[in-house]
Amino acid sequence: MKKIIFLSFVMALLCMNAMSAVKVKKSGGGSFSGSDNGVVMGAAIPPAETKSGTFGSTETKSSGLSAGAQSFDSLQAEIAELEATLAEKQAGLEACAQKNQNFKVAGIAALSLTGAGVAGTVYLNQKNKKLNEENDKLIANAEGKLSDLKENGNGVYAVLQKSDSRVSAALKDNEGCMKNKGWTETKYEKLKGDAERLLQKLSSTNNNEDITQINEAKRISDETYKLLSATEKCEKEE
Amino acid sequence: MKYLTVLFVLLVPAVSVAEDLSEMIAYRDALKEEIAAVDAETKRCEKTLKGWKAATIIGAVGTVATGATAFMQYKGLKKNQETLDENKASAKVVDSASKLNEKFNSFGKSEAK
Repeated sequence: MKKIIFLSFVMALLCMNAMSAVKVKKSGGGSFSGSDNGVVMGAAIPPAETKSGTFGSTETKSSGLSAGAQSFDSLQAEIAELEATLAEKQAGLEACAQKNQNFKVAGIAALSLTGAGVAGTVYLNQKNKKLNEENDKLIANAEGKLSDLKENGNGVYAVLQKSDSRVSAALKDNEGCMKNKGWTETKYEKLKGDAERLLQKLSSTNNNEDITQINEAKRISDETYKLLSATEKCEKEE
Repeated sequence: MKYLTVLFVLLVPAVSVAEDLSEMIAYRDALKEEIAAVDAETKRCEKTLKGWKAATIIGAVGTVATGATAFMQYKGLKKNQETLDENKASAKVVDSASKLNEKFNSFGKSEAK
């Protein structure tokens, strides 16, 4: 009886060995190249942290003996598929990292430019504010002096009117002397006409014309001053 | 003793095959774990990428907006500067005219006398 049991056990073992031998022979030419790969790949993996990955997290690890029941072919096919998937995913990760780097550079550059733009805008805004304040002061000052300008115009015309008889007399009586000093009746009449026109302009003052009017007032004032000085000099010489 | 030797001889190849299988399974599991790690890394990478993309878009929009604003400010500044220069010149003339006015007023008064 013992012999029979022993022989049955031996037969079973022989059958198992024969079957396994065929499978091992096949595995020699496949993608699985033995224990070296397993060790290298295994060493690169952090322990126990990726058990919840995409591939069968609930699968229990088989012990060496129970795994013997799994088909070598299906295991090899699964490994080949996994290797291809890994290569594909690693390529994807590399592409993502490259894109990330590019966008990082672009993002930093764009944000820096925005920062510079904000700083520039703030600086220009401050400078504009200062200029506006300065302008407002100048305008207020000019507006204050606008009445002076009108008075100036009036003053020039008033001087011309008041001294009209004396100027006319000097022009007639001292014609030679006045001519020598560059004055004729025509020139005097023109000056009076200019002063009148200036007064009319000043009565309907437009801020845009202020400079022109002031310059005109200045010119008439200068001319009138010269004219009166000429009459004085001619009268004295006489 | 004879039986034991026969058993040992028969068991050795069986154990060897089992070891090979075990290594293959370990390798497969390692691959799965590595794929899971790469997936996690890719997820992190994509999240960061999303952030940088948003930063780039915000930065680009900001650059255009602040650039346009700065340009407008610069134009306004130039105009203000011109106005200020004109006003300064005008102020000089006003000052000069005021001085002349004073002189003429006194001249006119002396003439009237």
